[in-house]
Amino acid sequence: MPSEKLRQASADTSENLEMDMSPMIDLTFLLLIFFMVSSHLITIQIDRRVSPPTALNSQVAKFASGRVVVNILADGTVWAEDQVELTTTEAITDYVEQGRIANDAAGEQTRLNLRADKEVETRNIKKVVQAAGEAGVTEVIFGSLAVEK
Amino acid sequence: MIDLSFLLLIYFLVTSTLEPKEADLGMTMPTTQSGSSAQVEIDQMTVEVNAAGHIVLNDEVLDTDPLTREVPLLLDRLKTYAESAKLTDSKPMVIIAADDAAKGQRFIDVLNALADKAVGINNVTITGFKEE
Repeated sequence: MPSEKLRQASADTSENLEMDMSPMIDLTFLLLIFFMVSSHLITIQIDRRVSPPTALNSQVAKFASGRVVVNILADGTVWAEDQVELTTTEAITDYVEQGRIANDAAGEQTRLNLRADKEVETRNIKKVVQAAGEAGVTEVIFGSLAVEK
Repeated sequence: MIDLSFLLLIYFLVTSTLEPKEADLGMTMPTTQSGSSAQVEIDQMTVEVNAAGHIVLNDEVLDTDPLTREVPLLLDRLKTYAESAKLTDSKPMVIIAADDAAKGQRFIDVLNALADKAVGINNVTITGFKEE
């Protein structure tokens, strides 16, 4: 048998069991706006280990379609967008070519998005650009920051 | 719940402004397809970047400080070059010969100068590839 206190408490709440909906509506709107905004943003996977060079004349991209992303870390190692290391030149060519074939099928012009660390030596940049050229991709976009960090 | 929504709002506000947005610096390597054969070819310009990060043009050292992002002397030459190309109605083309040991930032500095509004050359190529 429930105690007097408990019975009293349950009797009290049963009278006004209305839930305040306004905060939930607020939150829903907030989420809605957030996803509306973020869906327009460009979605490429960014490798945090790369700190890109500064180029004040670079343009913030308006569209991300047709990009094949290659990251070059400061130590000179080359990584694909999905964090797989590309150890040989052939691996880079294969990776870029696969991207190009996929883009061709989708009717997109393929561009190489080269995210090279600012400390990387130019020989690594040349290696990747050459490998991409062999895969039939001649447009290169260098990832850079438009502001001085 | 209001607390939580404010928290979320503040969180997204902060994270979106903290991280500088990554931007693009484009470059088109010339292909063998000769689509624009009607245009007159102009002498291409070769910009060298040596291992120390100095920018060299026709054996003349232009900008020597690799720590600054400004390349005023190169920019000046490029403007002249772009103007002369415009006058002769030809397509300007720049070759970047960067030393293997040069830093990527210096290479980007040259590309940045090429993308300057007063220059606007995007027909760029790189030399010094390894033969295999």
